[in-house]
Amino acid sequence: MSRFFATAYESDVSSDEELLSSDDELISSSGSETESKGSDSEDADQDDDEDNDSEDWDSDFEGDDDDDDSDDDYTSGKAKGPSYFLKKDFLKGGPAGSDSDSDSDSDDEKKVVKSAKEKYLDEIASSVDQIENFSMVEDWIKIANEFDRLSKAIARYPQYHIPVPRLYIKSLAILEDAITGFQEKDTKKKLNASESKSFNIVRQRVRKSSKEFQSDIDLYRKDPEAYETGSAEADAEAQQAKEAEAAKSQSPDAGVFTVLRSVIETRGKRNVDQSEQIQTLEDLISRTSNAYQLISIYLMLIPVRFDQFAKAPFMPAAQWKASLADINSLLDVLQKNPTYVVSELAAPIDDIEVEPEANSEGVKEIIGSLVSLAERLDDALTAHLLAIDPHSSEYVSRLRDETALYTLLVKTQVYYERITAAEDLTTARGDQLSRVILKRLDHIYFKPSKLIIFAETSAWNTLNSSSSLDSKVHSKISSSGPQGIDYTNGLLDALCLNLYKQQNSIFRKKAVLYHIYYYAFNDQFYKSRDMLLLSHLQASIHTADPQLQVLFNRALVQVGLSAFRSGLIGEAQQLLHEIAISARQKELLGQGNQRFQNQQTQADKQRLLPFHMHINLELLECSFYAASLLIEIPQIAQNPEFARKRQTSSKAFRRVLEYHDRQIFAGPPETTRDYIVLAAKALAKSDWKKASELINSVKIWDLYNNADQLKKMLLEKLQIEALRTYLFTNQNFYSKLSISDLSTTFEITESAVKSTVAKMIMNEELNVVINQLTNMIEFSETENKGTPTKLQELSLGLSEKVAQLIERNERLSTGGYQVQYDKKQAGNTRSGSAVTVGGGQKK
Amino acid sequence: MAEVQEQEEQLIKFTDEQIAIAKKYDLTENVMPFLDRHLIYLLVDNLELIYSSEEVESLEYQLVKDTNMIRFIKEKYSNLYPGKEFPAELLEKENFVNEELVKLNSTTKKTLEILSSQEVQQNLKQDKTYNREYLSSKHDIDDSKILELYNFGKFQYNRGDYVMASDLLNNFRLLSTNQDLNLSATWGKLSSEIISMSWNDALEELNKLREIIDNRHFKGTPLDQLNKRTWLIHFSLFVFFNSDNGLESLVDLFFSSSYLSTIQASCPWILRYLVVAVLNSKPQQRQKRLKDLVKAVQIESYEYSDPFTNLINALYVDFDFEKIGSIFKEVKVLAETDFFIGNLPSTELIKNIETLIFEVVSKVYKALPVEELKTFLNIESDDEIVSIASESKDTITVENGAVNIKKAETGSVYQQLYEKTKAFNFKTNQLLGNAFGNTSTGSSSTRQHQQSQPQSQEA
Repeated sequence: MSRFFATAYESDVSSDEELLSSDDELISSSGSETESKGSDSEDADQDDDEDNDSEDWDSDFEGDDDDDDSDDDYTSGKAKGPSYFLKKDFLKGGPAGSDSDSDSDSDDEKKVVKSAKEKYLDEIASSVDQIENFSMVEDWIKIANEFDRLSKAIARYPQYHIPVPRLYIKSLAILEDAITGFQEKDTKKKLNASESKSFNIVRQRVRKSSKEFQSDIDLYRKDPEAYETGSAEADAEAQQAKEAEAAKSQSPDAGVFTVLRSVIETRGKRNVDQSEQIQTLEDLISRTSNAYQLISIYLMLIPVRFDQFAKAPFMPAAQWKASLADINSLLDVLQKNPTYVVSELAAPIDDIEVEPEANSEGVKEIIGSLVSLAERLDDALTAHLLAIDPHSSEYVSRLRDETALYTLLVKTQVYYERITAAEDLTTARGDQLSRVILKRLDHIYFKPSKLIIFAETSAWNTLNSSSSLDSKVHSKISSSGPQGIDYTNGLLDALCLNLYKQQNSIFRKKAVLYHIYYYAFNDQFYKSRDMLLLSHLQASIHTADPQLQVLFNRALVQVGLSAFRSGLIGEAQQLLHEIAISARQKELLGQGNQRFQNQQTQADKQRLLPFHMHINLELLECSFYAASLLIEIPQIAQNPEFARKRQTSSKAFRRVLEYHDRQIFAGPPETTRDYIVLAAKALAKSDWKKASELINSVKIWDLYNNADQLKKMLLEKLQIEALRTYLFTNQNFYSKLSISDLSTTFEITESAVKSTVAKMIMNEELNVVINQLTNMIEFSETENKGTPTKLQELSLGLSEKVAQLIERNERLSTGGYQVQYDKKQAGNTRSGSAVTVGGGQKK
Repeated sequence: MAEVQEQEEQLIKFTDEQIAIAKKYDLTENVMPFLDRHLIYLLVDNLELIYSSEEVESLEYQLVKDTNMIRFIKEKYSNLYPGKEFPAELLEKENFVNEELVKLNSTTKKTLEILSSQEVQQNLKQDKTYNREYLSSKHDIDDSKILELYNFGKFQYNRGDYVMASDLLNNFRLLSTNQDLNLSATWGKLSSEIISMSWNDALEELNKLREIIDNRHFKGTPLDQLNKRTWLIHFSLFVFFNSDNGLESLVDLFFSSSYLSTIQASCPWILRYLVVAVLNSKPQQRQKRLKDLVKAVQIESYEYSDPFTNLINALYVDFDFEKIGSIFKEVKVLAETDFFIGNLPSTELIKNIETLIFEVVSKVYKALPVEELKTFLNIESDDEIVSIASESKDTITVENGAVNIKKAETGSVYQQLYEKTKAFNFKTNQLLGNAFGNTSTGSSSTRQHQQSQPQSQEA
């Protein structure tokens, strides 16, 4: 028997039938399909509460003639048509108990067919009988064994979808009596060691279990007879009918809470059909109109909805929308009934039927968290977006739901603003409001101003169609208020300002990064840069959690791109450098994983951002290389040797150039990088026209809003840099250059030429002077015209370094003890490294 | 009446265009939130140079209206509304002030007498707690009495009796242990000293405040600290622009990293004074600081610009010589009208700027038309060019309407190298002497070094 149960309900035949199975096989070999069908339906009648699994199972059988799937077929190994495979498949599922095979296709009605559940109940009944008997004689060891078995069996009752077997309750009551009875007289009777041990075990277990079922035991004690008989055929159907009846007959309140409680009890347990629970709860909602009940039901229903897909990779859109609608209606209920407030900080309640006490302001607080629900809804959407191919139309259609979600977030924010007093904003109470605001920001910070306005308008339109709401943090968009970029700036400022006031530094850090990102993205480079610097986040970001680091990187890149758009090439190159040359670019920006798929952890996945939030990596790379090109090419022209050795930031760029040089055949440009490299080559020859042509033919620039302006800016920069490159490369061949000629060659104004040359003179890059009278650039006429020879240059460099060394030593010696302390080392440095190296170099 | 005449004279001095420039770049409005009412008065008073006297008069009235300087208010009032009766609340206030004065005077009189007595003076020590115990046990001066000193000091300051206020606040500071009140007493004393023009005392107070604010254990939020620094920067302008060598200290203070970032974060207009201070410093100092200055100006150029920063930008960032002439014109106006810069000898400042421009020009150009140089420098005659040029190392000749600049020989590379390395030997020996005295290691190391020295000189 136990073996049978070990295989659980896979096979729904009674043990008796096991005996029959051999004949059965004989008979069944000729059985027809209709018969089996009949028997199956019979079966179903008997235990209509079959588990889904076994029902499927049955249907499998219906599909083919189950008669030939008897053991001998299987063991003989003969394949008998398609059914053979099916059978095999099935057997794999439950090989242990399958020898009997459920095909209870009893031709004659006489055979007793018992369902697994009945067998289960029988088992319990026999155990209870045993216990009852043993308790009469007070044989505690046997009781302990039997009770142990009973407890094990009882743990399985939810599998059969039946209430707690009443026999079990009965046995508990009996045992309780026996124990108390025994304890009263136990002084007289001595127990041996093993007996007393067993007794104690039983006593403890009974006490524990009876606490669990106290109400039932009480019921039993009231009228043992009636209870027992009622339980005799305790059938799930009956129970359900009863429940439904009770719900109808009793006051609606009680019914609602009974169901609610049953859901609460079973929530999270295994083998609970959540869709059924959702169904029940949805029914309940339609039945009641009491605000407190509605709130309680919603607070239960929404999490169950999420539970349903807790293990799935994402929540299907339909379910998601249902959850969204539920949260919306919950908010509506709360809006209409201002005396009820759902808050994380409410006192937990013991009995859900009792409404919480109203506080001094007449507000009844119910424990629950709207912000968590909204957050989960958001996470579910993100998870789904991550799972869809971003280029499919499904992605786009799913993305549309973001508007609805955003509306919900705004609504939630308005709700929290209502329940949060102004002075509470910085306390734990304001924490919930801040979380909503953070989520709201999360949906807008990466968008251009126009899209934010679109989201805002649609959100407020939806919200105001039914009632007129407004936000205290930042008032709604309206025709009278600020428009366009002013509105979004104000919105972002207000939202972030609220977060800056929070105690929790995570809020502040995230807010400032969102703020920076937004301003950078909307072309306010200086503002975003100043905020980045003032936030001092660079110093501590390495210790922050990965999500924050990703956000920081994103903000940094945006600031860099913003600098590039504003024509601040140097800044752009510096800012973009670290991310642009990184091999783990994608990971740094939360846009994908470069590790092997199977190494990904849940945390890795959570870090990822959905596609519509991504920063275009090609654009990033292209901007970075274009910036590097403008900086590096003149430097290389100025001093090829020196520039190569220098640890410059754009080693990556130089590597790209060198790679291109090694190519035997250089085909026409294909990738963005090719275009940039070829442009660099052209610029090195001061051919700015070709360089600009190449750069402008990169299509990716069109992703920037003001692509034309950008191209114009790049062209101007190219002209200037081409002029500089030209002067550097050709300085040895000229003694004079006409400014007007230069101006026509590079198509820039004469004053621009002059100012460029003047800059080079002042920075001592070029040894020339301007002769305004002749409008010429004159190269200096000293004997060592142009650059000094390499040896001279090195000597000068060396002497400067030695001077620095001496200066440093002087500073050290004024510190005194440091030199004393490091006497030997200091001596070595002075005589050893600096001077001997110097000698070696010069000779 | 004499005052009015004086104003008229000054008004004649400026053309409309110049006044427009001065108005455009007037900083009074920016500076005001960071100054005390009494100090603002000085600034507003200076506005008479560019605004009509009525406007200034009414501004001044608004300013002093809420103070306790009754006589002064009355004076302003009658200037504004000649022949009119004083409003009732003013008279009421006058009574109140007088009563308060008598009251506070009497309550603090005894305390002050005791404090100034010979015996007490001798017994007072550095230790404040001891002092308090001593005073309360022997002379019955408790905390409330001490607090009265503060209140009286504040009152006197409001009344315009700055000397008395400074005295009272000083006494209070010596006795009180209340940190916050001490701090505000110091601010009060600083303002009093500034108004009564005792710059040395003011400098002392300024340093005290700096010590408190820059203290690593500064109590309060970073924002608070930033605000205090901003205040300090503005207050210090009065002191630095008036005391001897003040500008050097100004340069040192404002270039210190925390103050430079304060300027960048909350009051970029201070750059004007920083530019002026650097321009006015000695040539060697100037060269050193110029680099930092250019950087600071360049960084802030997106959010603040005025003729002074434009000048720096045009000269060292954009090399846009064509603009320099007009910028220089504006600078000259501001040098006269700005309250702080006006305190400086303007000729010296102008001359410094001229030298600076000329330096850059002579480095970049070999030759250029005289007229062009004249517009750069904003001067009329050739003689002036010669006088400016005479200070330059380069040889400048003016002939046929052209200026030729012949660069001074920079010397060959060898010469340069020699110049650079010739002091090494001496320096190193000195260093070794310092570090090791006359120990044996020192001499051996020196010898080693001497051997290698000729090599570098050979090159």
